[in-house]
Amino acid sequence: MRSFFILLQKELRELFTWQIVVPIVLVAAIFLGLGSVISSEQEKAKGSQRILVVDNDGSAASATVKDLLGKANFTVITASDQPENTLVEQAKKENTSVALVIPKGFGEGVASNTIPELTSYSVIRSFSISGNQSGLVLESAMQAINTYFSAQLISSATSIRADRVLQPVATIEKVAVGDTIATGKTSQVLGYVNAQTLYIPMILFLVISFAAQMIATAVASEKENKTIETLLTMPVSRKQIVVTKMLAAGLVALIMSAVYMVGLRGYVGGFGTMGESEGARVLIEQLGLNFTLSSYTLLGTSLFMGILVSLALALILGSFAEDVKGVQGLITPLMVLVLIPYVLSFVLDFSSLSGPARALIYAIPFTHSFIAAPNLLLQQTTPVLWGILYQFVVFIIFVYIAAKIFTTDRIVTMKISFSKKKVV
Amino acid sequence: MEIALQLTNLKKQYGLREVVHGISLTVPAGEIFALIGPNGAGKSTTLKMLATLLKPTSGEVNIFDLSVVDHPEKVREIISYLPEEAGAYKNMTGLAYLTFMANLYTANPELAKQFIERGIKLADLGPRIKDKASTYSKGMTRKLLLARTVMCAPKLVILDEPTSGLDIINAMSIRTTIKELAKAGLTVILSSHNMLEIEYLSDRVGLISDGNLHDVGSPKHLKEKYKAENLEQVFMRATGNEPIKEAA
Ligand SMILES: Nc1ncnc2c1ncn2[C@@H]1O[C@H](COP(=O)(O)OP(=O)(O)OP(=O)(O)O)[C@@H](O)[C@H]1O
Ligand SMILES: [Mg+2]
Repeated sequence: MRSFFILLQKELRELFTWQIVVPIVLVAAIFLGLGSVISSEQEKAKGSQRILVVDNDGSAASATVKDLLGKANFTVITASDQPENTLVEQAKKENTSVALVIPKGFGEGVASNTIPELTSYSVIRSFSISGNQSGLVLESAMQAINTYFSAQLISSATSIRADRVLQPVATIEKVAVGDTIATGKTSQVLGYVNAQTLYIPMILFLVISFAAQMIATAVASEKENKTIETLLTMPVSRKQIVVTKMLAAGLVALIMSAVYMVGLRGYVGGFGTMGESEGARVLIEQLGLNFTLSSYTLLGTSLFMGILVSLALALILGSFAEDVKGVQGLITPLMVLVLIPYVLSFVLDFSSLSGPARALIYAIPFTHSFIAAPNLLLQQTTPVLWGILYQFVVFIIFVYIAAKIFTTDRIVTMKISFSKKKVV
Repeated sequence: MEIALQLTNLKKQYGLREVVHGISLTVPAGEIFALIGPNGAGKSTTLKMLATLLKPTSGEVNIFDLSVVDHPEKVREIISYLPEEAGAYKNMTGLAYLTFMANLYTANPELAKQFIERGIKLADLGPRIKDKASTYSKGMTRKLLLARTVMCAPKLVILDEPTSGLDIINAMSIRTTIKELAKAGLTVILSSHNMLEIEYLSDRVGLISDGNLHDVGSPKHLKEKYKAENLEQVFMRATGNEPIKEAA
């Protein structure tokens, strides 16, 4: 056990070089930075939603329009009557992107049998959603203004209920998850869940591939630097050598995933608030679509099993490498096995695939890590447990093979270069 | 007399090709035994089997009555092996490397300290011992590795071309060290292409070529047998090459 820690310490020291640490920190910092930029942009878009209004009418109706704009979260800035290009110029100067002109006679027009016009201006400076938030909100505010005036029109001119005319059929939309049924829309559920879980497969993919790379490189560099033969004749068990190598790479991978998790959450969380309305939050809670402590534990276990399988497989592949350069090519099969479920999990529902295709995709041990999060959100715990069990079995088989390689000639003979033989 | 090393009809195949064809040999404790032979003769392969790195295809290797096949982990506690080609961990300093290795050998911190002190002395790198191993020259690395091999005072030391890459002065000091270790009771088995070194160091010599052990004896005995003036001539004649013109 003592030699175990000595070996582990050495493995960690060999892994924690600045070549590895600097990129991790850098990437995390970039993601964190991006995340805070995105959320602050959104705050800005939300907070400083201002609109220039030219009111040439000054009627009760135009006051109602400004009132409705206020309800849509706009701060109304009154502007004087002017040609439209100077109005747009002023909007730019005031650092707002929307303006509205209420023409003279608007109030009278609403009351008489004509269709008065409101002109809105939206300055497009970029094509991002957050950059155009005011414009988009103004669009829906214009609709709300229309609905308001048509309701007024209907009730003043007829005896029919205004809301009936506007919406003669009431639709009650419900969604069901498992046994729970709640009022809400599919799009709300999807938007919320995606925003909350988008970062999980990203991190999983990054960490699994980093872990694989690291351990394969650790073995290959022992060969390249010709340290492995000495290590293998030391009075420590080969199993310890294999396990400490995996543990060190696993620990570094875990630290990395924690760092990325924080970074990516910041990044994705920046988007998260976008589609998130109070209604959606309530709906999600009613449907029970939140991670509980036990589902977090299962998710973590599944992710960790994915990392372990990757480590064991990479250790086997890495032991074929003659030097560090050879690692990249050797772990390609592993990368493909990770990429397939990663990419497909975005577009396919694996459980609805046909028999053979499903068997194939479930045979890839990494698949189970990628589908754990959605399954757990949907309270489908059994497939997750089976997945973890399957991953564990695969892991044990791979470790057995890796230990076998390390206890036979193979680990030594697989590297020997025959070109070295000299002529006497 | 205690037997340090006993090889019985030792064979090794790589794939289908047999490269060691049944070597039998007994080395008593305290002896310095040298393997000589042409390139590709099977010296390193034999030494790797002793060091538990390769499994014999057939035959037996017993080190102080422990079979390397049945008890490799126990054998590793009493041997110490210097590979033909080896390096140190690049991110470790020479000192850290010696410390790492000493701690793998013993759980006793006092003993580990002794090993490390001896290692530092043997490596003879001066203040450079505190530099990263990646900055060492080939000879400096070799000295560090040799120091690591012998500092732990195991019972059997296996050295594959110990002084290759070393200059005359350093090679000489290594030889003196090996001799002193043997005097203190250590058994040493080594391979070398340097006949001067063999003649100076070894109590007995084994001549290997093409995976066969052709002859075993003291340098003096072999010189007489092959009517040669030095081991180089013994080597040439024993391996069937034309004898070179005798030196005056
Ligand atoms: N991993 C391997 N796979 C196949 N053949 C090998 C392997 N290692 C060595 N051999 C072959 O075994 C034979 C003996 O090699 P070995 O390295 O034992 O020779 P040696 O006596 O140490 O030579 P040298 O003086 O060059 O170090 C050679 O023919 C070599 O090509
Ligand atoms: Mg050799």
